[in-house]
Formats: sequence, C-alpha cells, structure tokens
Amino acid sequence: MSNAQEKIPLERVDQYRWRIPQSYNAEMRVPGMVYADDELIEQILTDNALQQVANVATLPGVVGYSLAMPDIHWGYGFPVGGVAATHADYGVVSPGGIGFDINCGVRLVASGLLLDQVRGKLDKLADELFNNLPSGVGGAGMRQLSAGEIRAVMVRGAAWAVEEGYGFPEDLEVTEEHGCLAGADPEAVSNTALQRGLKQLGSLGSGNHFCEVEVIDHIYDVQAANALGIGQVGQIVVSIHCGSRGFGHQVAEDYVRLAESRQKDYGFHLVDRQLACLPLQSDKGKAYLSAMACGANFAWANRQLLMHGVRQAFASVFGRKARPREMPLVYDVCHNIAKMEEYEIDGQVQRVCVHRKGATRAFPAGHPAVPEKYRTVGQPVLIPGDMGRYSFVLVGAQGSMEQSFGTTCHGAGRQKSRTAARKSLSSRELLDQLTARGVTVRVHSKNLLTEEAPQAYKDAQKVVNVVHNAGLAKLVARLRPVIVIKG
Amino acid sequence: MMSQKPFEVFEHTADVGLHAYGNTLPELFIHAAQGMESLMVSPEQVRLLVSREITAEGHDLVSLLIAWLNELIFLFDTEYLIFRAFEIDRLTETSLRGRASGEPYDAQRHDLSSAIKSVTWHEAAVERTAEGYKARIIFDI
Repeated sequence: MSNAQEKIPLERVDQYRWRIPQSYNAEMRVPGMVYADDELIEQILTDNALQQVANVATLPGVVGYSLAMPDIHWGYGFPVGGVAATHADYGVVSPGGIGFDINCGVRLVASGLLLDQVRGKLDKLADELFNNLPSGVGGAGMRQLSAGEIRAVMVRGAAWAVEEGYGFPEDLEVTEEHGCLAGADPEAVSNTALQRGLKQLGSLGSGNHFCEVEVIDHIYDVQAANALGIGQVGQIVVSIHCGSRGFGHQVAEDYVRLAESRQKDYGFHLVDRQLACLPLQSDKGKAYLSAMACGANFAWANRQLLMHGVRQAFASVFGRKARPREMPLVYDVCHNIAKMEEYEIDGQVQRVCVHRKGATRAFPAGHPAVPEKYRTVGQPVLIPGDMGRYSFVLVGAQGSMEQSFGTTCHGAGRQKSRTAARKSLSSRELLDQLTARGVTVRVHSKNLLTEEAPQAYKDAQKVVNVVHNAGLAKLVARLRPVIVIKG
Repeated sequence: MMSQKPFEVFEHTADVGLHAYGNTLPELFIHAAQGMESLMVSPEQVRLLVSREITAEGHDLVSLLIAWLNELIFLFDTEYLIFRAFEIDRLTETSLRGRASGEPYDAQRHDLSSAIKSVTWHEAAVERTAEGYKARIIFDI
C-alpha cells in the first residue's frame, strides 16, 4: 500500500458513518470507520487522511476499526483525529499514534463573572494574561526546573504543581487521570528530553496553542451545564490549550526513532516510517509507555501552572470578584495519548491500548473514571474551535463505549495548509476581522497568526454535531471567544 | 556551481515540508539544514556570531538526516539558536560530524515565520537523482 492519492472506497453505514472496507487492501487487518456528515466527508476526501486511516488498520494487533473522527486531517503516520486500539497481549504501541505533543490537551476554568462585568476591562485582562503566560519563542516558562525537580514533575504531574503552590488539590479531582498517569519512569526518558524540559514548564508555546477567555453563548443541556458549573449564559470561562512542549516532542522523537530502527527486527513492514511501532509486551514497548507517561505528566503540570497564571491575572484585574478559589477547574482532557482500557469487542471484554491522536476520551455517565460530581452526567469533553468562532463543551455518551473505544473528536480540525492560510489573508486583515467579531487578541508572532485563521479550520459546530448525533458525546454548551492569547 | 536550487518548500495540511537538493551528500545535508532554518527565520537576518559542533548517527541516510536536523531543533529549543551557515566535516551512511553557525533568536531583529518543533518521519526520503541527491522531509510546527 502506498501513500499515493487513490480513490478510497467508502460504504455508507448510516447518516454519520462511512466504512472503509477491509477488502480495500490485503494488508488491512480491520476495516476503517469514518464519522462525518455529507458536507464534512467532502472536505475529508481532499487530503490524504483516509489513506492514513487505512494505513493504521495495518498495525499488528489492531482490533475493531481504525477510526476517524469528523475533524480528521492528514497527519504524519496516523491522521490527526485518528483512533485505533491494539490488543494488550499481541498488539503494538505506535508512538506516532499518540503524536509528538504528548498530552496536548485542554482545560476549562469557570468563573463567577459575567461578560458585562469584564467588558470594560478586556484590554487590561488581555495584557495581564499575556504577561503572566509565557508564549512564543525565546522566553522561559513560568518555572525553571532543576534536574531533581523535573524528575518529580515526570513522576507526579499536576500533583507536583499543586504541592508547589500552583492551584488546589480539588483541581486534581477534575483532571483526566488526576493529572498523573501511573507508570511514569524517568529512566525511560533521554537526557536530551530533560534538557528541553528544564526551562519550559509553564509556557504556552506557539502554533495552535492558546489561552482564551470565552463567554457561554448557548446552553444545550441545562442539567449537565449546571452540574459542570457552567450553567449561565453570559458566564465568563477560560480555556487553556497546550501540551508537553519540547520535552514531550523529544520523548516522542526518541521512541519513533527507536521503533523505526527496530521494525525489521520485529518483522514489521509498515507503509510509513512514522507508523513505526513496538510490541506492547516488549521491554521497549513498555519503556515507551513509561516515557509517554512522563511526557503526559509534564503537560498536566504545565497546564496546572498556566491555570495558576490565569487565576492570578483575573485576581489582579477583578480583585475580590475573581479570587482563585472562585475560579474552579471544570475539567482537563488529553487529546494525544495512549491508554490501557477495556472494551467489549466481538462479545468479549478485551484489554487494549487505545491510541488517541487528536481525539478525546468521552466516558459516559456512570463510568467509574468520571469524577464523582459529574458521574450522573458524564465526563466533560472540551472541544476548542478556531480563534474567531465557537468552542464547545460536551459530555461523554454511551455510544462512545460501544462504537469508538470511548473516544470522540478533539477540535475543529485543519482544512487548509499553513501556507494556504497565510496566502488567504494578511495578519492585519485577520486582526481586523477578529476585532469586528469582538475578539481581543494578543499574539507574540504576528507572522504565525494567519496560519491559525478561522478560515484554516473546519467549522467546529459541524464537527460536534456529528459526534452528538452519532451518540459519542452530547452537547452541553457553546462558548464564544472574547480574548485570545497566542504565542 | 549548482545546477539546481538548494531547496523548495511544499504544502502540508497541518505542517510544512521541504525538498532539499545537493550534488553530493554533504551538500544535500547542508541544503536541508539551510532550508529548515529558512522556514523559521530568513537567512539575511541571521548574523554569524556563534557556532556549534554537531554529531549525529543513524542506521541509514534518512535516519541520519533526521538526526542531523533534530540536533539543530534541540539547539533552537534549548539555546534559542538560529543557524544560517553549515559545514560537514565527515559524513558516512550512518554518522556525521559538522558545524552550524548563527546567533541566538532576537525578537527585535528576527521575523519568525514558524517555530519548528520536530522533524517527522512521515514520507521522509533520501533519493539519488541525475544531479546528485534529493531529500523530502515534513516538519511539525
């Protein structure tokens, strides 16, 4: 099988699902399943993403389906928006199936403020956030780490940050994995990765990472919104989208490199070097998962520090009306990660390694991993849109357990290359457009701004409508950006 | 005298790619590095103030090229160094020793076009051509 643009056969299953038959290529071990509506499927067909969905179906030990969420786009190896599960006993883990930015994810912070209360102070708040949250290139993060401290971060994640005074213990209860994935082993992490991480903790980075102040614009599910503490239209909330920075990238690179050099030894013949994989039961496979956990924990500590910076900014601008304890964390999700979980496949409960690359866990009401205070409504799912348009909050639904290894989409999904996005409008035009929409922007690198233009992304509303209608997750609220901070 | 351009950029949905060319392998490696650095900051803006010795290893030419470029990413990420000029002292199919010269990133003087975070393995290739060599690399930005 090649990476050439071939016509991928699609069989319509129902209104929101399309199957790529296993017969498409003899190397596929399972079929593919694409979540999309009629409009999104046309966009999806314009890049090579579906070929990648088929490629992922060739991974040793893959079970069920190679899945594509409606925000899918061409990635390296795995598509972004791709989900695949491999059997714990005889399957592989593919570091490219988690991505370079290990535990890139989103957290949502609520406040007791309404838009009317902040409207007069948007510039001041934007400046305060821009100063508090390091972003862009060439600056250090909020906290410089010693070699000993970074080891503690790797092992304890967000809990380390709370102990150091960044936030509260209750923040951990509403973070996926309590902000610390078990099994992290600093010995599995290279010195090169350590060097990259020492200066970067508590920084946003650049690219599509951001901090956004948003207003709740529409509520779809009043009961769920109230349970999440975001039940008021006009309420101000804050999103932070960021990952494990250079540290996670290096961990990923180290293990893709290792896996790639070993493919012949394992007898794997993969169409894309970026799909290189390690048997889950091998020492190196286990080492990757331990190193990945270190990367994930770094990212949770990172987002914990950034949230602290957000709370401080709000307290500085609004005083008693926005004390840190009155800005609770709603939830924090990963969207680049691998998890060992159990699902019923072909009538049997099987333990699998779920690869989520640009995809979010979406556990339903009643699932024991959902925080107790949300257990009657389901796990919050945070879906950032693009800069000028909406973001969404959903909760996981039962359909995800039955169809998609407990997974749903992660965001709007790119549809234009960075070059095309930059050609389509200037940063001046974009800033004017955003201002006209009532969005206050602070950005370090103006050149990079147009690459992240709304026009470069699919419409997030369409993406979440598909997962809602397909039963993977249920819409709770829509958020509109008011301030955007970017690197 | 080169008979072909040193490199060209191509489009990729979420990231950016490069085709690099060289009459010889060392030239290919140098042009790939120049191409990658130029994606971040235009070479005219980069002064030659600092240089670093670079060593890299791989099991084939593709992994060696990726290792070489990743060393430059590492120096950008940890010391904020942007490079413009390169030398290759020694190059085999599996190892390399060379030098990179440039200066620390200066937000006042350098227009940053992209911050490259990783070199990916996706569709990475090094091929022989009539004029010498061609490489294809996609970057994560």
